[in-house]
Amino acid sequence: MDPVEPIGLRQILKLKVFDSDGKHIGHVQDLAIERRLDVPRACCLGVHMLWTDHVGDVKLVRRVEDIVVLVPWSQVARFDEDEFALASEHLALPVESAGGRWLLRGDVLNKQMVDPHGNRIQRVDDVLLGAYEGGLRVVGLEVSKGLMITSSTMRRYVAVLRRKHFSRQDSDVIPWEAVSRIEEDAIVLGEEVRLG
Amino acid sequence: MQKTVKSRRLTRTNLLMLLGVLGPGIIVAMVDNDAGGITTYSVAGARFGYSILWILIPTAVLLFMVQEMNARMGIVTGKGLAALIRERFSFRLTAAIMLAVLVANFGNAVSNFAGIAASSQLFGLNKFVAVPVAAVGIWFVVLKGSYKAVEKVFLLVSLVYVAYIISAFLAHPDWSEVARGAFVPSGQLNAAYAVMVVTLVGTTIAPWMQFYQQASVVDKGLKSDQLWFERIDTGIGTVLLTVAAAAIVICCAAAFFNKPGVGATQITSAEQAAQALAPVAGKYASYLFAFGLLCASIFAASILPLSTAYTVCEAFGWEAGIDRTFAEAPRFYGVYTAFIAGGAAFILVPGMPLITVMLLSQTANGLLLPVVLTCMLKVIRDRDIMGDHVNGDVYNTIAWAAVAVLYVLDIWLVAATLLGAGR
Repeated sequence: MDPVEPIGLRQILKLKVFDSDGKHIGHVQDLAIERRLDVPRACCLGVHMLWTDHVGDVKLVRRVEDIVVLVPWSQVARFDEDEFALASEHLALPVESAGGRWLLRGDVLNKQMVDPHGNRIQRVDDVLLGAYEGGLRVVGLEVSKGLMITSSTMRRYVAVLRRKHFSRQDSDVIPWEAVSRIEEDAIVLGEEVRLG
Repeated sequence: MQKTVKSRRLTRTNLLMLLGVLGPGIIVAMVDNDAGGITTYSVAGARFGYSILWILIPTAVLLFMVQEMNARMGIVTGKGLAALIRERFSFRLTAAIMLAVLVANFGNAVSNFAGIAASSQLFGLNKFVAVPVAAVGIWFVVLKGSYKAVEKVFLLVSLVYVAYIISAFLAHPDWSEVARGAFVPSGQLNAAYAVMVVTLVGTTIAPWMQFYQQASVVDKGLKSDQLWFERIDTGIGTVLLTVAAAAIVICCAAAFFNKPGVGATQITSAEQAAQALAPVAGKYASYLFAFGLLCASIFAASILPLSTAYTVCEAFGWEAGIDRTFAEAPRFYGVYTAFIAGGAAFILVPGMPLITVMLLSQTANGLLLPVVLTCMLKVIRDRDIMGDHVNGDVYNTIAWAAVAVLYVLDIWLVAATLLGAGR
């Protein structure tokens, strides 16, 4: 992947995942980051496995299909726009707990963004990722230009956020630094939107 | 468990709580009997008599099941259906559904303004006065009112459907035939009857209802401990809808079906039915029927734009809610205003393609319903979203079977709409 241009999470989801033997084991289902928002680095890859009979070191009674596990990013040997290759064999893959982590697809993508007072802004249309020390980090949240353009309030609001955080991304990207916290139902931005 | 059973007893506290919860289920059901619904029931009664009545009972069961799931999803998640579809599925699917919702609901809004125009003319009112006055009145009530005030107005307007029950009595039906038609399933092996059955079901279970009830449950802020009361609200709404629909069918069946000198097949609209009632059932029955049509059309003309505004704003994450001001939720009120102004203008400006819009609307509704129901059934089985309130295995199997029946009827309705079969 081009390390300069940010890529959208949507481009990564559904990419095929192969193990160290080159065996197709599933597809990308999610990316996890730690709950510290100042370090938005992808720490785990969510893999929707076709099947497995191991979850980490645990041998299951029988094989299960359609299981999603978090594989530590250290296991990602290589990735490009077509696939992810892992460093271990299918049944020897270490897994991580989803607890204490944000899932970019599950907790961020399509979620409602609100200002500190709970006023609704718009939904997250995509999560932009940039290259970071051989991995990926979140750089911003994309809001659809087509939808945003209909509201001058929203355009002004996003512009204020971008100026405040010196964003160099496209005009429809809210910089990640503007996110003050992630709640179960909403992503809270740090700046108040002035409605009306 | 013990606590839950105890809390369902009819105590004074529970009764007060129920009264506080009543609203979303009743309103959505009553609005379903809009100008299009009244027309469908009138034509069904006039052409097929009491024999079509039985179909209302299984339809009511299906409707209750669908609406109860919406109420449950709204209460458990605190989110509208459009929001859940967006979060559970994808932006593209949501955008496609929103496009269909806009087309379908605009056609419905236009048909209700047509209902206002037609019924006001029956009272000698000029449509160029009645339609703008109704449009501005509807717009003003929602814009200036709080959720609670608007809901009370809507609940009060629901009482107007009593007019149809009185009309049914004034038409002097044969009640033993009515009972036989309602409880003994019968049918005719012809395309016209089949299309009428499909149209009745399609009219009664429409996609906007799923979006509206869930959104209004959320807007009302109902919590999990009020779920049981919201089920009662949904049940009462379903029964009232069925009674009002049955009253219209009975009234038209008694007045027009198999009556020499009355061209039952010539009745193609609710206003024609209202006019034709006068010589058969008396002028009071005719006036009541027309009054019911007028109020139902006004009622639906206010709710459908509201439902659309809620749905679109939820999907895209825009500020929404009756309790917000225009400045706080400009796109919510923008969609609402555009639907009311557009719907009214469509009726008043000569030469507008009314029939094309209606057909497009019915087709969009037909295509939308299976997609929306499928999304609903997937969401409601998702334990990450619904927790312990997922559908149980038995309920889920019944729900899928019911939805499968709706799929078939729905495809039939779209085909009939496009091909004009049985008309």
